[in-house]
Amino acid sequence: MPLIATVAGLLITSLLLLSIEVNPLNVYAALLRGALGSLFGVSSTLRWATPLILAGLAVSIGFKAGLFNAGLSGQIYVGGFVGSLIGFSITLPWGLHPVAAILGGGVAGALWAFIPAILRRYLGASEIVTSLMLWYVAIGVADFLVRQFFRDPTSAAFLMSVKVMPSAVLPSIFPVGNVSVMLFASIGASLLLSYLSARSRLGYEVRMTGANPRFAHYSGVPTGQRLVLAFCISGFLGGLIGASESIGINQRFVSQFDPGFGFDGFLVALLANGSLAGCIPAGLFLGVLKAGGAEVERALGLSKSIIWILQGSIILFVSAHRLRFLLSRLASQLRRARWKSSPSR
Amino acid sequence: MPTPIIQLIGVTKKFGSFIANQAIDLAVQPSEIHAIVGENGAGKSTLMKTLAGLHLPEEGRILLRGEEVLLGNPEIAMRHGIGMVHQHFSLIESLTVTENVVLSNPPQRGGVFRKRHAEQLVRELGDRYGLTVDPRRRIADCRVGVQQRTEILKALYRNPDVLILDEPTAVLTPQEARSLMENLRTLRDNGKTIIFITHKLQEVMAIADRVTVMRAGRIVLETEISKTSPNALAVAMVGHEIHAERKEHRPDLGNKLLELDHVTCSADGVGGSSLHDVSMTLRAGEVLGVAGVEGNGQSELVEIVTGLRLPNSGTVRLKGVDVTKASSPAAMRSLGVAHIPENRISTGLATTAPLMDNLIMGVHRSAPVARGIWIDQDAARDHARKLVQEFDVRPGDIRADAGSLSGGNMQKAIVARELTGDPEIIVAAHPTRGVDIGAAEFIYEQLLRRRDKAAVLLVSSDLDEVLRLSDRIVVMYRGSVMAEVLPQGLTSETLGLLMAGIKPAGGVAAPGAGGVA
Repeated sequence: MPLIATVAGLLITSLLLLSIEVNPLNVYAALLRGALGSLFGVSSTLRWATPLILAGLAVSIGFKAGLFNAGLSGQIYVGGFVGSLIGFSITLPWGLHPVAAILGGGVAGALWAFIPAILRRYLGASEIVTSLMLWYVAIGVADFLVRQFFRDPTSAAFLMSVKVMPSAVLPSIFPVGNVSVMLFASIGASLLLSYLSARSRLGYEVRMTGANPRFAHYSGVPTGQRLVLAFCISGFLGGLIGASESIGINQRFVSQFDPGFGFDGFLVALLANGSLAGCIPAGLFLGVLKAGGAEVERALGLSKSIIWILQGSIILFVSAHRLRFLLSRLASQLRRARWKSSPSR
Repeated sequence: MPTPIIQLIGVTKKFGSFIANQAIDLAVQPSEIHAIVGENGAGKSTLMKTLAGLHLPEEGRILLRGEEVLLGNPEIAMRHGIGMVHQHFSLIESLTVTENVVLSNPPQRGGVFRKRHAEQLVRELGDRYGLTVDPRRRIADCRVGVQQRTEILKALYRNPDVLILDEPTAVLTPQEARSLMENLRTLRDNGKTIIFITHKLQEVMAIADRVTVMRAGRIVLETEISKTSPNALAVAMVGHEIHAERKEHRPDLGNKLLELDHVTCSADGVGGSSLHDVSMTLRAGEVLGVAGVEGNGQSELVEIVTGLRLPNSGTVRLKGVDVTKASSPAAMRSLGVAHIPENRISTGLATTAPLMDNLIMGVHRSAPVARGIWIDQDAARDHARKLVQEFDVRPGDIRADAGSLSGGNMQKAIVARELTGDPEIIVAAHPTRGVDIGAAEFIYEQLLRRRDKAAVLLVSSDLDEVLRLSDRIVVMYRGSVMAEVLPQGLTSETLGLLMAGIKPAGGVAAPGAGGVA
């Protein structure tokens, strides 16, 4: 299904490009060249794919339990703040320091997600609304703390914290660009969680809670606990994104550092179509679009928004559940028409 | 013979590789009541949905009054004069009877809904066909029988020539069912053609003019009612003889497994009912039937016994231990309570999950399916396959979503799962609702087989079922125990009166001081 949607999205975008007299093949060629045609392109693709995979995973875990983590951006933000805080305020041996910062960011994200989770469990409050609202709280609190206590005095224009200790910096594993070991962590997390979801008893209970909470409850599954667990894992993954952006890319906390991973996570999750391991290819694909967009802009003088149109139309088709139904209906009608026109009847 | 109002020629409908209807030829005459009977999954509903424009057949032709038509969607079918009342109601609970009935085409003047006029229309429509309703009542406040009349009126509002009803009596009390039968006769006498799907052969014999029996997607028998018998129909349906006799059983009573002592609980929200001072005892080795019109507290009783609801006062004892406060589904299950729930789709299954995941629920907590924190995939598959085989769940693909099964097969899957691991107390709520004769027999057999080791609490509004299986019967009325009676010599008429809250003159056999034994 995601494949059909991708093709349909490419077609729609092509029509649009043709209408402004641009050869779509040139655009797609530039896109691929930009994303995969050079070492820098590849590293750029992987740099973007890392947080995208994690974000898709975070959203998908929520889906598994029947939850909608609309506030992933908030958990990312909190993770970014706490990750950098651990990075610049304490000293730890090299090698241990980034790990502590990343895990600290993850835990912070999990705790931020814990609030809507327990509100949902005990008060029945929609996690969509509460987690989304907590995003604004996260921005307010983190920015306030940075402005008051940790601001880099040399930067007047932008709100950012002091730099993290050199021991805390997540190094790039590529000669160019900003790819960190978090790439492997995100792939590993996808595979691990995919396996746990499919094979562990806990994963099974979370899936059943998501598939039909009444059924799970009636069967004796502690559904409340399972919901909280799934939501906290989702928040933990969000925290990892924030922390690795802070100590890997920016090497400090930068206000509004998140370019929208929280929402991109939904795109990845939709493309992955409910599969946790599927977040890896889906994240890589969106990474290609993000990385190649710059080249489209540079080589063809087109606005980057063409990439957003492509993304948007693919997602549109992925979420169009009725598409498959309509296609099969069309097929059966065609069959019928052929049958009716056959002279033997 | 006159031109049939509906004629199907070689209609075939497939779902993937599964053939739901194969080369169906069927003719329905105008102004007749035509019954379609068959087991679950025989393809009755599929065929009727094809007629109502919900499915497009792969092959075959549909002729209406001799002319070929293409029923592409329900609206087209309706314009051709075919209306359908589905098994599961599609009413909007917060709206009134009138608003539901006229929803498809509300009478209006200048864009304003003419409420009074609409109510008048609905009242006239009801009077014409003997379907009495209060047009102003909200659906949520109506009894099931009235809701169904509303569904029928909704279909009649479009003035169809053909009315299709899918298992119309499944949710009705005997009295309501009888009055529905009267209504159908009136409709026929008014020139409507009625097609109805059912499992209940007495209904077919009572009101149908012709009957078509389906089995495994094909028509196996079509005949006039005067030329057949219930037995012949049953044999055609299942393909072999069945014996529906009550087997006399003297329960060999064991320990008290479940005791309810003055249990009271208040109603919650819309449509719930309360329990007043309910006391009962369930012993090992017996089937205690709980009869009653739906909505008289049986659902609440079941929820209390299975830990889904806490009583406001009174005590619940399981095997002598007070569990009133410690009650939860998990706790009750660990104490050996199994629960066949009244609603298989909303509670009994995760329909979007594979059959295997549905079948291993519960056993996933202990070896061999559980292995540490993992689920042993081989053991889980073996377990699921074993249940599918033992309980004849069809089609038995354990990777297919549970929701793809027919109603009867879903029910068999639930029963299979719940009877796993020899539970001591089996709470069975409407265990055979909407299930065909063959599957129902099978479920009865399974429940009775468990009886020797366990106690069964059977809640049902199907009187034949209660009378046939129970060793003792409790009748519930408005949240209280109306009577406790023995099934021997009890007729469904007497039971029906008790369910309606009327103590019959002359009394009924009640268990004496010495109990049933």
